[in-house]
Amino acid sequence: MVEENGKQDETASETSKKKAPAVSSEKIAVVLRNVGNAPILQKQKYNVDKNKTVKWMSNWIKGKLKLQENEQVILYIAQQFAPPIDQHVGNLFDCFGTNDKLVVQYATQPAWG
Amino acid sequence: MANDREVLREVWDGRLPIKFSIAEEDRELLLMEKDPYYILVPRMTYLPLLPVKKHFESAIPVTDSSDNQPTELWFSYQDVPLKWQIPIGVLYDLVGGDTLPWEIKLRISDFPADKLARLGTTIEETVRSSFIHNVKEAGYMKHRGAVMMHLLPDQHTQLWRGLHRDKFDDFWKINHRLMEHIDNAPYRCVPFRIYTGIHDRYIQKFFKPMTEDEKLTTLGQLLKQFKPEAVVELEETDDPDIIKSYEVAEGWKVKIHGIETPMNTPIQWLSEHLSHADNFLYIVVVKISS
Repeated sequence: MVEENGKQDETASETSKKKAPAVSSEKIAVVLRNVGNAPILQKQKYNVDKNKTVKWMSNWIKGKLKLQENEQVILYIAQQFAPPIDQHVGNLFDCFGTNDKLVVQYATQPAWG
Repeated sequence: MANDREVLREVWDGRLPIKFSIAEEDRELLLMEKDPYYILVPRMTYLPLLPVKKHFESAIPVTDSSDNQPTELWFSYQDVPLKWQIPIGVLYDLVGGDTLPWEIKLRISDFPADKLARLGTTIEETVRSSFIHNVKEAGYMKHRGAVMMHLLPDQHTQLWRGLHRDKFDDFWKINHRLMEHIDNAPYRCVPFRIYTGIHDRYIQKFFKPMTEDEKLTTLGQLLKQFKPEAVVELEETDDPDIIKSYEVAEGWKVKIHGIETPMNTPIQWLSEHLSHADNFLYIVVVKISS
């Protein structure tokens, strides 16, 4: 996903340099979708470092949703399975990414088993 | 479709002799002395499912004196905490160093929360859930979930119980369906994980078991793509009709279920016959210290 750069008056050479993929090779585009009663996030699209784990993403989303300590965030792929918490985002993107992004469902209760 | 029953049976019957003893640093916490526990375990099972706790139970305090929380058991080998989500056979192939019985230490303090996931109070359920989700993930990779979706919860249970209770026939009655070829096609991609160390990032990527021109891809080709330093090409050739041959590079070992698997083995066959119970092919790639 393109990161907004906000610059209005860049030169042609600056623009052509920016034609390279806006997401650096270390980050991948993630789209977060809520499941069931999980609150909807204001912003759904993020660029995530591909070395982050599922566990890290769960905690990060939990923080964004301002959940209580005893609440949980469970992540799902393809509305079918929960990837292991020690799995890396880069692997998930390589296996399950479509159209240059990884769609991840997040839930506060078990949704698909 | 996983037709070679003899191979399936041999893989299922793979066993490791393990000696469990309380770690030196925890001896002073014990309520009484306990002899080590010797047990022959299936390679395919998981550490928390073993009756180790039961053996040492009378010697282990119920609460951890440092934080008054219930004592949390964990396992280590040469000070490396052992991840319970990894099947025992894979753990051994990664760090066991060919010595048997494998001597594992039982720890009852200083739970390394940065390295290990907690099991909670419902240990079997936690392991079961992790297992079933791996099966679902593998199913999605093979058939986009087309088979898995039609399995009833009862059948998930049968799969789990088959593994847990060492019932080969019960397990494979369900697992055969997960090994199916839909419309006689090979799998969409092969569920595999390359492990180089217990706490290293594992490699899991999209890899097709068959090329566009219907040639079966091999273990060597998979490793060339995702762990190239571990293999060498046998014949330098640009001829696209010759399937490249590989062998393991000097100083490296590649093991599946403890077997140094030939590099020319088709990945489709490996997926059907040498996967673990969760339907993932665990490929251990380690550097041997010279």
